[in-house]
Amino acid sequence: MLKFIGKRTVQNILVFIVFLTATFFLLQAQPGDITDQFLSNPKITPEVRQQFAERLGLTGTLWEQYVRYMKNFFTGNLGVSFSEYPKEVMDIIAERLPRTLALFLFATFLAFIVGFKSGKLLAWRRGKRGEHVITLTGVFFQTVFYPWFAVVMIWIFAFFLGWFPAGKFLTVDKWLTAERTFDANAVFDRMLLTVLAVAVLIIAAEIIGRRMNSRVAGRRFIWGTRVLTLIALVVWWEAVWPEMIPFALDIAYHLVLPTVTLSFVGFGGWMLLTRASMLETLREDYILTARAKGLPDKVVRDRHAARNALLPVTTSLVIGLAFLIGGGVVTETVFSWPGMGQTLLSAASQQDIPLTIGAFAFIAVLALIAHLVVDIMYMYLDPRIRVGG
Amino acid sequence: MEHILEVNDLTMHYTVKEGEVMAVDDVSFALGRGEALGLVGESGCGKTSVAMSLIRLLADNAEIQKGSIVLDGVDLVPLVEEEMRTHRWADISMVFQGAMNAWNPVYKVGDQIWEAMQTHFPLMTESEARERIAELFRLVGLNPAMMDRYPHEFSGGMRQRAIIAMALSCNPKVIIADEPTTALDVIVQDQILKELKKIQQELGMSIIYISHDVAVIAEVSDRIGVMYAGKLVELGPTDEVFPRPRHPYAYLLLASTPSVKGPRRKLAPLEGEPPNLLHPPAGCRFHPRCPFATEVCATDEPPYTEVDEGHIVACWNWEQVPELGRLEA
Ligand SMILES: Nc1ncnc2c1ncn2[C@@H]1O[C@H](COP(=O)(O)OP(=O)(O)OP(=O)(O)O)[C@@H](O)[C@H]1O
Ligand code: SF4
Ligand SMILES: [Mg+2]
Repeated sequence: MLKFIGKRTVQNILVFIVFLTATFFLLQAQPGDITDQFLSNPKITPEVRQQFAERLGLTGTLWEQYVRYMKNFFTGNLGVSFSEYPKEVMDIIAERLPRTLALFLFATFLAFIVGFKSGKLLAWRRGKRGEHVITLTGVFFQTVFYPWFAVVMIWIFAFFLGWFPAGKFLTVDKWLTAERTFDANAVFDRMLLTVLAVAVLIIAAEIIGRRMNSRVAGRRFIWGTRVLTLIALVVWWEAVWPEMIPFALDIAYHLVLPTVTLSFVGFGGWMLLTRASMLETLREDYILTARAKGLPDKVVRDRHAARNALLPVTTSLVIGLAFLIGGGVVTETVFSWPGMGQTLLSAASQQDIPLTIGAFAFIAVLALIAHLVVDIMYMYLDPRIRVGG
Repeated sequence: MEHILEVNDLTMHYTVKEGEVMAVDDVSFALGRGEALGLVGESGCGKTSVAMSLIRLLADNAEIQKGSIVLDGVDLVPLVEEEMRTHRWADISMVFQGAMNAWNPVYKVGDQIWEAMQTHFPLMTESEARERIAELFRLVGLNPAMMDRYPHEFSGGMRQRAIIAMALSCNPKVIIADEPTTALDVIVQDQILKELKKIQQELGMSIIYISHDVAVIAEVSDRIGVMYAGKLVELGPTDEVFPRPRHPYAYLLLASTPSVKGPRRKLAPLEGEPPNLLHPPAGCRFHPRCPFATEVCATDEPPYTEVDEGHIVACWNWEQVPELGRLEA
């Protein structure tokens, strides 16, 4: 297991270096010299321009520039942003990456859970009423022109129904008028850490609970941990960061609509895929065995069919992730969500090369980590791979 | 002999676009306690359909049209699904055709057996279950430690042994073994059959063997039933049917099989294909292929005749069928 993760990590680092190299040369190949761009910009003095040139390694041959950039990159120096001068690219990314991460994680989770469950039921109830309608819905979400769909979602839920804010990360007035000693990032980072901690605890409980000798004790342990984790979450925020709670809720409220909208990108695909995979699984001999054993239908469906249908769906999770990353850029733009996607678009359109490369690089890191997580998940799910197969 | 299972006039059809596939038609037989009954016939003659009807695990397009399946006094046919579920495995279990894939790849073999026991004996504790599985594993010739392994760590023969252990786990009244060894290589096949036979006799199990392979059936069963095109055409003690089949189809089937025991037989050809069960031939379903057919065969269905005690045959001209090895081609 560790060996596998190590091997994959090395592979991913190599892929990343290739990706970064390609990005570097592609952006360099754009017409015009970067420093020309800023001749007309009064904010940028000749000294600063010289500094840029050095920071980006614009002196010397292309090859020397490349080597210098890579060296700097891996020591954490990504240069200074042009468009948001004089912010460091690293600082901008540190601020925006968590927002994208949150959007991405929640949307993936939601899309996967809803897609998997509905695909499962769809296959199980094949030939019954409603099947075609739901399947067509899935096809619709998979093929719809996404920016249009995002705007429609805003129109319905923000303007027509008025349930959610139309965009942005927080309610500006609320934050400006309040007395506070912290900024939005501080609150948001704590929210994200909380969610990750909860996720880790729940997953760990699941793994330990399933390993337990007695099934009953295992289930009790899993549910106990879930409840305790939720209580601990509330107690912790009340005790440690009570003044942040209303602001955290404000951000969470703003997060709902973009998350749901983005999750629709993955939902249709995963539902159809689960349905296909589940129909395949239902034809397997071991499903017949399970039924012959007199197991209740729900057990046959969930413990035998769905559990195996999950394997191919997990493999394709990676493809779904690619769509979600693309959708993420659109979502952030449509919802004015100040994350990496929006940053990337604005940086690229303003020829802010250091920020563009930086944003690309971190989106790539995100994708590669997600890929690794999926691989590990697959190993955990399939004993044929897990147990020295 | 007291009967544990009685099947009367069982008729089961599949509905397809083109019409009805008459896969099981008026099949009747009984299984005594501790008896091994073999069902034999060419591929597609409805053997698996009979087995699946007995445990009521039929495809969505299948329907039992009439008949009864009385298992230890309870007719299974009218039961609703939820009632039937409690009988499966606890009263009637199965070793499937092609059972190589009968294990769910993601769970340990022991857990899959335990799952069945847990369903039917909810009060059984985990340690009791493990003890029982260990005992079953020893019985079928497996190392009990294997129960904590995954199916892919088993060889084909081991998997099939474990399947047999699972079929025994809830002490069923009847076990159906549909092609229990067909997917295995010949040596393993033979070993497992011998052991299955031994276990059956030791435990006094009532079992129905199903195979297209006459040699297999002859080796393990006390009585033998020959199926053709959804019909049971001959039924009798193995000792009588095997050396002296009365039905022309049984005769040709046995004659075209090299004998396992007994004298070498002259191989007689069984020509043609079994009929499409969508439109089975009128009269006797075997008449287009039958060398003994007369006019009546094409129009009227032959009734069962008891040629000897407990030996029945459905043929108009059964008296014309010679002893094995005498057919002149
Ligand atoms: N779900 C189904 N729908 C329609 N026809 C079916 C279905 N299942 C089986 N049949 C048909 O029913 C007939 C009997 O099939 P069955 O599987 O019972 O035969 P079998 O004797 O077990 O054959 P084999 O030796 O190949 O296992 C065959 O003609 C087959 O094509
Ligand atoms: S009834 Fe006629 S056709 Fe059928 S097996 Fe007997 S002789 Fe042949
Ligand atoms: Mg069969």
